[in-house]
Amino acid sequence: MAAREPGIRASVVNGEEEGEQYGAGTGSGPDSAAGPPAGIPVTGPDGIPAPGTGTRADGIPASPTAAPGEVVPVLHAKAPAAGIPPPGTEARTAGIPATSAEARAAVLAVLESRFGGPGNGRPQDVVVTDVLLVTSELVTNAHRHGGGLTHFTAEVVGDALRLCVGDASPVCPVSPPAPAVPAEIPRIGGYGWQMVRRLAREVTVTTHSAGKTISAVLTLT
Amino acid sequence: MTGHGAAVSARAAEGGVWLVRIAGEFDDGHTVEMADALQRGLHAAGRLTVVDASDVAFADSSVLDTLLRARAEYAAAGRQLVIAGPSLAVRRLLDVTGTASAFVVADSLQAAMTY
Repeated sequence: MAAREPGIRASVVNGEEEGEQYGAGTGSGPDSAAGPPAGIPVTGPDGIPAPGTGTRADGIPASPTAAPGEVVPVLHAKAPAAGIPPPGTEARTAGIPATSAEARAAVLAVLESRFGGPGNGRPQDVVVTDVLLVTSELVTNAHRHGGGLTHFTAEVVGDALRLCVGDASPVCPVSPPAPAVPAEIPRIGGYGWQMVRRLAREVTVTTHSAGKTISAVLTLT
Repeated sequence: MTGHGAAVSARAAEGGVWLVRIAGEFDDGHTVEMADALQRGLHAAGRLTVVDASDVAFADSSVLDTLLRARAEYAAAGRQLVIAGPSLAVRRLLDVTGTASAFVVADSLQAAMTY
């Protein structure tokens, strides 16, 4: 992935935003540029700007650094806690998987190498299920709506797994608007991005001239 | 998580049941066979279709869309569709999306066969 100028960050935890639609059964592409206007930082649903964590040279949002006592609702400090290997030994994926299945396998391998077998702080099955679901939805969307997967990393950071998925479309994903009255018969399509947003404790979309990177942080404990 | 790949089988079972068994990992590229098997159940002789989802190691939103589409088609045709013994992956898919109540879900295959 080539170096990009810092892009805009849309840090959303649980709101709704516009843009391309994930998991749509209609196969609709990102042809309507409904994403946030370039250059304007998008705030979270509470109106507070996204935590200013900077952007690395490769265009991927850097991890936030928490000042002592400061509440950072994102990744917590990378400082090694008891029982957690020091930086540099943390498991991380390498290379760009060709398919969603390969991406899931890579994430499973990261979890295996970090936690080993059961009983070693290994995440519960339901957590692993959620992590694989988010991985799959993000990678599938990059292929279906994002012009292809351009970047993929998964790493264990503290008590969380951080996924970074890049694609070639600068259009931000979207969930269909919720019906005013809960529908008795659920719609078909549009569940992928909704699940990503529900299952990740933070989702950050960083757009740049050649596409976007979506960072999703999932609690493993 | 068990092995890779997705397997779909469909057959007329005892008791007038069209039994569709899905097993393995299902994502965007693996739902066509499943949709076809469900579609065939719509036209099969018998009273209901049971989807044995007990051995699904992974299922994403494309599986949910396939099931929801089948649900709508079965409802329109006045046919019964039951999901039997959903694995953790399938249960999670239904729960996280809030769609579980749209389906008839049986705890086990045995229970589903008697619907």
